[in-house]
Amino acid sequence: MNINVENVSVSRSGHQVLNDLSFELQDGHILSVMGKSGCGKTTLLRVIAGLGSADTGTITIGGRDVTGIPPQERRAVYLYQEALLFPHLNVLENLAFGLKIRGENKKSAENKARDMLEQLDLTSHAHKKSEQLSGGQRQRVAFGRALLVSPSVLLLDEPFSNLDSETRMAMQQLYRKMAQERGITTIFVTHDLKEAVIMGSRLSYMEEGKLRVYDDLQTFAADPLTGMQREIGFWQSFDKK
Amino acid sequence: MSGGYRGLFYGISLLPLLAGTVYALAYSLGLAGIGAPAFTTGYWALVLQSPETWISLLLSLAIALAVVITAVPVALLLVLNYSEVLENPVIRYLLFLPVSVPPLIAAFMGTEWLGAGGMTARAALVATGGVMPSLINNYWHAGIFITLTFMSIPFLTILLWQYSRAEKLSGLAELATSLGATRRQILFRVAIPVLLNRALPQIGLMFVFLFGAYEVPLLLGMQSPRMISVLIAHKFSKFDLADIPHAYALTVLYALVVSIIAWLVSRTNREAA
Amino acid sequence: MRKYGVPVFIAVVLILPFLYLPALSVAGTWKYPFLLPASWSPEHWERLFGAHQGFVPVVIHSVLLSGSVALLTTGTGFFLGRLLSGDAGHRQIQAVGYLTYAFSPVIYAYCLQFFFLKTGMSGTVPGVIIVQFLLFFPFSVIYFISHWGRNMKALEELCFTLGASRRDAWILALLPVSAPAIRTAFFQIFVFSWFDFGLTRVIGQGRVSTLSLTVWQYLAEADPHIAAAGSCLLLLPPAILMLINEKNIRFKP
Repeated sequence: MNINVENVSVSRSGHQVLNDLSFELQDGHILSVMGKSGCGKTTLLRVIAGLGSADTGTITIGGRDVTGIPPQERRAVYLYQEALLFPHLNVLENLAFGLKIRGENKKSAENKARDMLEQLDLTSHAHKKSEQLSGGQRQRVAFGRALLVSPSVLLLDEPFSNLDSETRMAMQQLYRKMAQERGITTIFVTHDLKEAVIMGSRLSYMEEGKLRVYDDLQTFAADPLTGMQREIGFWQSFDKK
Repeated sequence: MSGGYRGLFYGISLLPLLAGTVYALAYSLGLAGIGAPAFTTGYWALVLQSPETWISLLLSLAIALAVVITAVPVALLLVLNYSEVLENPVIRYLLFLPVSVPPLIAAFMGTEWLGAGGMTARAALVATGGVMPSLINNYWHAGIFITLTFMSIPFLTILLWQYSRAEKLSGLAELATSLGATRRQILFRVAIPVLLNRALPQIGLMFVFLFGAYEVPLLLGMQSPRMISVLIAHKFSKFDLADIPHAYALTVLYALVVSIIAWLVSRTNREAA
Repeated sequence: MRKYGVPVFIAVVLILPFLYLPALSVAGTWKYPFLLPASWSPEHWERLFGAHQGFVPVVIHSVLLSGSVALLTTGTGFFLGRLLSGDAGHRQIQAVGYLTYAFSPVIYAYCLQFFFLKTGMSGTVPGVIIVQFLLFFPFSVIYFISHWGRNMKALEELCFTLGASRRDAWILALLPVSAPAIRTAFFQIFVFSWFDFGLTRVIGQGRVSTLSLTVWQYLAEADPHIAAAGSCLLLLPPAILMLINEKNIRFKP
C-alpha cells in the first residue's frame, strides 16, 4: 500500500515538531529516515500510526484517508526500539496475539505462529517467556508478530539500535527478505548511515520538521546534511595511511 | 482533563485532613465544640506554656532520632558487609520477617521481653545471677527505643539492600577501585553516600512514623512524659471536657510538625513517581 | 561460614520473639525466673476459640473488613493511577502522598472523628472502611502511578497498532500484565488494614471488632497467653505475604 502524507504539521508545547511535512512512498518500498535526535522522526511515525494527532494535514494509506481514524483500523503497525513483548505470554502466544484479537481461531492462529517461528529460526523457543530471550530474539519475535497481522504499513523506530553489530546485520537481512517477500511498505527510522543505505529503497533526511526525500543514492550522498561524504572521506583517509 | 483527576486525588487525600485540622484549630480557639465560649487563645496559651507539650514533642523527636541514628548504621553494616549472605533467600526471609510484625504485637513482645520479669531479665539472671531492671515504663524510655529499633532495622536493611542492587553498588565499588580508591574511601565516599542519598526520603518518612508512634509508647512508655501521639490520645479520652480543646491544639501542633517534615522529605526526593 | 555469623545472629535475635509467641500461647505455667514453661497446654487456644469468646466471628469480620478496604483502595488507586500517570505534577502528588502517609493513624482518626460522629458513621463498619480507605488511598494511587509508566503506555499502543480494540487491549494485555502489581497492592493494603489499631479504635468507638482490637483487649486484661494466641493469628497473613513478596513491603510502625 502506498503512503501519502500531505502538509502535516504538529506542534507540542509551543515547539513546531513537524512543519508542513509532505512526502509519498510507493507500495512495497522501504523509506529510511535519518535525522538528529529530537527532529521529529518518532512523532512522524506516531502520527502515521494514529498514536498521536496532527494539527493539520492528511495521511492516506492505500488511497484511503486515515486521518482521524483510530490506530486499530489503520493496519499500520508501530515497532519500538525496545522489543515490546507481552511478559505474561510465551513466544508462541506473543506471535499469535494479533491473529487472536482479529478473531482467528486458536488452532489456526497457533499454526500460523508456528510457521512464523520456523521462518524466524526460533522453534526451540516457542514456550519461553520474553525475559528468557536475548535482545535479538525478542526483536525477531516482535517482527514476526507484526508480520502475521499482514499490515499495510510497518513503522520501525530504530528497531536494531540496541543490538550488537552481528545480530544487527542478521536482523537487517531478515527484515529486508521478509518485507520484500510480502511487499510491505515500510518507514524505517535509524541513526546509522550504513543501515539507512542497506535497508532503504528510498532515503530521506528530517530537519526542522521537514522531510527531504532523495531521488537516489547519489543525491543523498551529495547532500552534506546526510553526512555521507564525511563518512566516505573518513574511510578514504585510512586508505591513504 | 488531567487537572480534574489531580483535583480528585487532592480532594480525597487532603480534604479530610484539612477539614479535620481546621476543625481542630477552630475547637482549640473556642469557635467550635460543645459549649464553645467564643474566640479564645486561652487553650493555646495553656498548651504552649505547658512543659508537658514541649517535653512530649522533644521526647518524640529524640526517640525518633535515636532510633534512626542506631538503625541506619546497623542496616548499612549488614548490607555493605554481608550482601552475599543477603542473597540467600532463607536468611533474607528470616531477617525480614520482623517487618511483618505490627506495632501492637511488637509492643506486646516488648512487655514480655524487656520487663522486670521478662525473658531478657530471666536470661540475665540465669547467666549472671544479677537482677536486670525493667526496661519498660522507665525514665530512659529504653523499652520504646529498643522495640522501635528492632522494628526499624529489618525494614531499613531490605530498603538499602534493594537500593544497593538498583544502584549497582558492586560495579561502582569496582570502578572506584580501578580509580585508585582504598576500601575505606569506597565505603565513605561511594557506598554510604550513594545508599543514603537514595534512601533519604524513605528514612525521612520512617522518622516521621517513629515521631508519631502510638502502640509501642502506649504499652511500653511511662505515664509521664508521653510521646506525642499517646499524649493526644490520652487527652481525647479523658472525661474532663476541658481537656478536649487542649487535645485539639496539640493535634494542630502535631499536624504542623509533620507537614514541615513531610515537605522536607518531599524536597529530598529526586525521583518523581 | 564465618561470613554468615553476624547476619545469622541478628536474624536469630529478631526471630526469637516469633518463636516466643507460639510458645507463650501453649504454655501452661511459665513463672519467673524460668526460661521455659513448666508445662504445655492447649487451653488458651481452646479458650480463644471457645463459643463465649466470639473469636471466630471476629476473625471473619476482620478478614471481610480488611478485604473490603483493600478491594476499594486498590481498585480506585489502579484506575486513578492510570489517569494520573501522564500528569506532569508527579512531585506534588508524591508530596501529598508523603503527608498523608506520614500522619499517625490515631491522630488522623481524632482529626476526623467529629465528621464521622456528625454523619452517624462513627461506630459503624462502613465508617471504619471509609476512614481506612481515606488513609491508604494516596499510597495506592502513588503506587499505581509508577506502575502505569511508559512501558505500560507503549504496550497499550502496541495492542492498538496490532488491531486490538480498547476492550481487547485491557482484557488480553493490560489487566494480565498488571495482575502482579494489583496483587501486591491488594495484599499490602490488606495488611495495613489488618494491623490497624488506633484508627479503628477511635472511629469504631468500641463497636467495631477486629482482631487487633481483640488482641489489645486481652493485653489490657493482662492475659498474655491468650493475647499470644491471638497475636499468632494476627501475624499469619503478613508472614505469608512476606514469603511471596518481600520486595514490596512498606514501613508503618
